Amino acid sequence: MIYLEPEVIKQAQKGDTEAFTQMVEAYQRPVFNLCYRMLGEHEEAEDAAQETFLRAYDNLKRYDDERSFSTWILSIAAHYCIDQLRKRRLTFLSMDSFPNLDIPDANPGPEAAYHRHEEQQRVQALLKALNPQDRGAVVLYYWYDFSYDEIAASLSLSVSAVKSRLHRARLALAQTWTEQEAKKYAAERKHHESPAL
Amino acid sequence: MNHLPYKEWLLTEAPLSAEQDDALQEHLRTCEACRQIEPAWMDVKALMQKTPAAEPLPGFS
Repeated sequence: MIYLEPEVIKQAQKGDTEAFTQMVEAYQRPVFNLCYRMLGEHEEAEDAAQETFLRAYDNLKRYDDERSFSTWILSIAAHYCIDQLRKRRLTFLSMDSFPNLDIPDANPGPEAAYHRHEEQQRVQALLKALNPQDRGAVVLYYWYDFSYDEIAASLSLSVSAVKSRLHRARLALAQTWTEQEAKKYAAERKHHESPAL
Repeated sequence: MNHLPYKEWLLTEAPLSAEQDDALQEHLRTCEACRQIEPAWMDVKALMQKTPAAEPLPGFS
């Protein structure tokens, strides 16, 4: 996880814009990745990451330096994304309407880029089987190595709720995977069995 | 059949005691549903672990 000198955060809290820029540069990747894993769409993830930094800027004076800064800022991002996912449901833009993913690849050979793209799609297809808070817990646990306590603090849940959400999410992910594999197998079989004439 | 606590044990990140592991293996011998969960979860976990963090486009900040 990123480490930012406490002095930089203190300066940013005092309104030093250079220190705040330094903070954005340090955290833009982890914040963006969290937003992307949660929302599944590149442009929306960038907007969410920008909104996260705006909210961080507005609330920076309230940041308690006894707390991990990573936990604090990722918590802002997670809450924002959970709200966005809930709004999507309310506006009937269901989870099934996930757009195609477009992850930029710094040095893609065509085959490597194809596989990476496939994997990213597969991950997002799995994550969208989870409700927003379960998804947040999985992303923070598996991509950020957050402890149960940190996830609980980030998502405003109790530690026991985090544990039971993670258990439920793992089971849902395993079941979704099994269903996807069965569909894949059936499609391949159908393809091979299609009559030559 | 009661699948608890076996599902819990199959999906936990915490190490199992020897007794728990024995009981789980015994259960898996007779339970097809639970037997399917473990490799599926291992595949999901492997996929998540090898999928790199997504990055913003250059010029994002």
